[in-house]
Amino acid sequence: MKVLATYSIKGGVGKTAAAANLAWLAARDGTPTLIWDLDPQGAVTFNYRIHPRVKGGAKGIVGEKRPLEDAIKGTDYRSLDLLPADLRYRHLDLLLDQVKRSTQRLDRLLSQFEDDYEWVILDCAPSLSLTSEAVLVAADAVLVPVVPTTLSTRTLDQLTAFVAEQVCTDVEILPFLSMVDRRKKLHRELQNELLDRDPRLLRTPIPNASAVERMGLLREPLVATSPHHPAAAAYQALWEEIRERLHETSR
Amino acid sequence: MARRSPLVALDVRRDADRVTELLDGYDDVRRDGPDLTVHRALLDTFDWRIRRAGGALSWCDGTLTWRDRATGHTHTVAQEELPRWPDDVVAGPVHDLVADACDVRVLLPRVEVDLTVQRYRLLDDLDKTVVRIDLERGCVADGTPVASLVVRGVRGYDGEHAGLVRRLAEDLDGQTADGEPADIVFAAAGLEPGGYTGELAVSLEPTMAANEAIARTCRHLLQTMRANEDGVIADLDTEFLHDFRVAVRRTRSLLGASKRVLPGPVRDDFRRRFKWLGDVTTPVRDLDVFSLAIPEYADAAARGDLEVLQPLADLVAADQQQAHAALTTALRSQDYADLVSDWSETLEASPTDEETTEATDPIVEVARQRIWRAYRGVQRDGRAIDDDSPSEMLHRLRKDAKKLRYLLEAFGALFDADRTKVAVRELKRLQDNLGAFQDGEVQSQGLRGFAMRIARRPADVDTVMALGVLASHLEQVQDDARAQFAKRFARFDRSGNRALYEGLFSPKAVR
Ligand SMILES: Nc1ncnc2c1ncn2[C@@H]1O[C@H](COP(=O)(O)OP(=O)(O)O)[C@@H](O)[C@H]1O
Ligand SMILES: [Mg+2]
Repeated sequence: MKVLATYSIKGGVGKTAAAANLAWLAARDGTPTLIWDLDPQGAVTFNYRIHPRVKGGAKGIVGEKRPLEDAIKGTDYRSLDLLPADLRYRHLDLLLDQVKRSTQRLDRLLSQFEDDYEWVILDCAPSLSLTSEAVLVAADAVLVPVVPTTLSTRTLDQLTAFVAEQVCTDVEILPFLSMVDRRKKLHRELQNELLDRDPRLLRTPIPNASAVERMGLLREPLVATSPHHPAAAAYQALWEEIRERLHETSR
Repeated sequence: MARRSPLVALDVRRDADRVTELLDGYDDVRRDGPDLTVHRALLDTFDWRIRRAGGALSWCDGTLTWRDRATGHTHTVAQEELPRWPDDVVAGPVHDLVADACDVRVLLPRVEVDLTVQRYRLLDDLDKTVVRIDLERGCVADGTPVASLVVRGVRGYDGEHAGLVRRLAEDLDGQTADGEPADIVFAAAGLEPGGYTGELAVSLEPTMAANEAIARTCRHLLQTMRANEDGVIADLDTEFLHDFRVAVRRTRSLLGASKRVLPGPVRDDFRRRFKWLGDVTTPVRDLDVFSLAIPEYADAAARGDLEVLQPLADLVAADQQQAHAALTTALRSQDYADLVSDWSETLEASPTDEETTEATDPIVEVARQRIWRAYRGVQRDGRAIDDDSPSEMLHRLRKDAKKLRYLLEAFGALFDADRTKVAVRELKRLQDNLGAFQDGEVQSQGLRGFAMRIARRPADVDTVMALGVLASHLEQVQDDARAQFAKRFARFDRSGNRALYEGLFSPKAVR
């Protein structure tokens, strides 16, 4: 079982869009995959047409009173399951603060799925917090969408510093370019600069495309509805690259 | 991959068209893509071991699925071709489940069917799929139509699944029975799943006339022989012949116990003919035992290296083929055909003569007396054996014990079932010891013969050495069994067990 998290300090950079599409791609050939919506806003839950509500809420999950298993929902796609968001997750930080060894808690919760899923994808809320720490401990790799702006390199540095501060993690950071507008000169320049500067950066940029936005209306992953769309093809290429990277490091 | 979601199948053979109409009429149900055509095979061993292990195994266009019949959980594995042996199944949970259930038996496609699948989905208020519905229609081999409506839950939507099943049952006027998807197909194919077992399962009444009870039991045994004939001739796996032989031996011991129940000349005639039948099956069975034991031999003599014993395996296989040809000739002979038809006629006619004075006595009394006699035989012959007795005496005792065992299995249910079970268990302990003694002897002798033939040819030195090690291992097995005999028999003959037999079967026994 490999655990990936889409992760960024900033909101609105394409975390959820990536999580929704990559999870579908992971599950496509029948590979059992779980997507866990950790953002109380529930965007990925919404994208998969599932009611946001987990029995017992965050309290039930963190306290391990209710088996997490019971909250899992099958999506419309056969080998893809989803753990829905719950508005009450907004207290997740506070709750984690109250339990012992809180940063290990997510990792421990996920270990019960070791035999059930090959991929687990965590879609996170934007923040640097206790939840984020727990995610960094649980994940094998974090996918960090980087929108080419003058600030974006700084954001990435901040994140790297934050990860470096965490003691008990050997998580791999996999940044990728998100919402790239090739018509904008600045985007093209920054893209090239970032690719030169940061060897960790995945080579495939996700283009800015209205089709990705429309996913919110259709509530189906773009890679499922329009597999030949350039943005879908980009997610596909990105997914291949992620798998290769993880394969390399696991050797 | 493991899935946990409920599944219910409705047999809709009678109103498949109405089902389509019904589903198309539901507001919250949508067609889900074009119809599919699939080929499906339902797999099990001849004696339904998968089913008895609580599973249902099916293969459909490159996917093998094990379904737990109680929980509905499934495991699937990509499997290009129909597996024949449990070990043909691709490694993983499905393989392990199949291997544990089937052991040495071959997997047979019990039914194969071509199906057209109409797919539907039930949607909730968010247009999310919450139940999947497949209408599967096709024909089994003889043209009998099958139609099942398979209602499959989506994880986390059990309530919706149950609701739809209820709604369908109501709208179909409760005319449909729900069940295991496989059972619907089996029923259409005229197969009774679980119908065959190697066990002796005949229900008898204590007051039944002895000749009738024995005839009923023998009819069942004859059916068992006939059911296994094809598998024996096709040499599908070793257990067809095993079950066949057990049925022959049981028949022979019932004939042996039928003095004064069946006319003497009739008994003598069939005893002779069934002995012939038993004898013609022996060479193949002995070789089967050898080939089944080879992995064990490799463990004992070659650190598990099968390669080293390959020359032995080849020789056994070649002999087995020859012996099997002779057996096939026997089973296709007029003698065998006549034996089957004469025996079933005899069993129908229940012949009597002036000597069949117990023919209409209650079976419970006749059985009690026969069991008691057999028990006393075991006791007498066992007590006569000391540490220096020749092995013939142990072989004789082994036969006595077998006779007693068959009688207990055939008629034990007429007595106190729990106490009879204890009696069988105690007897089995003794039989295990006698069996180990006999097997050690037969196999070390057989092995000597094979070793001589192997040594006559240019052979690998490792092989020759392994055969030597193996021979002394088998002798050791026999010696150990011999050394333990006195203790085992003393246990069998201890006062508690004697009281058990006396209480159940002695002439003074009160029931
Ligand atoms: N590649 C893209 N092109 C155009 N719009 C995008 C793209 N990726 C995401 N969006 C849109 O931007 C908004 C924020 O994206 P989202 O994936 O929800 O970001 P995050 O999860 O990081 O907050 C959403 O409306 C989404 O549809
Ligand atoms: Mg988001």
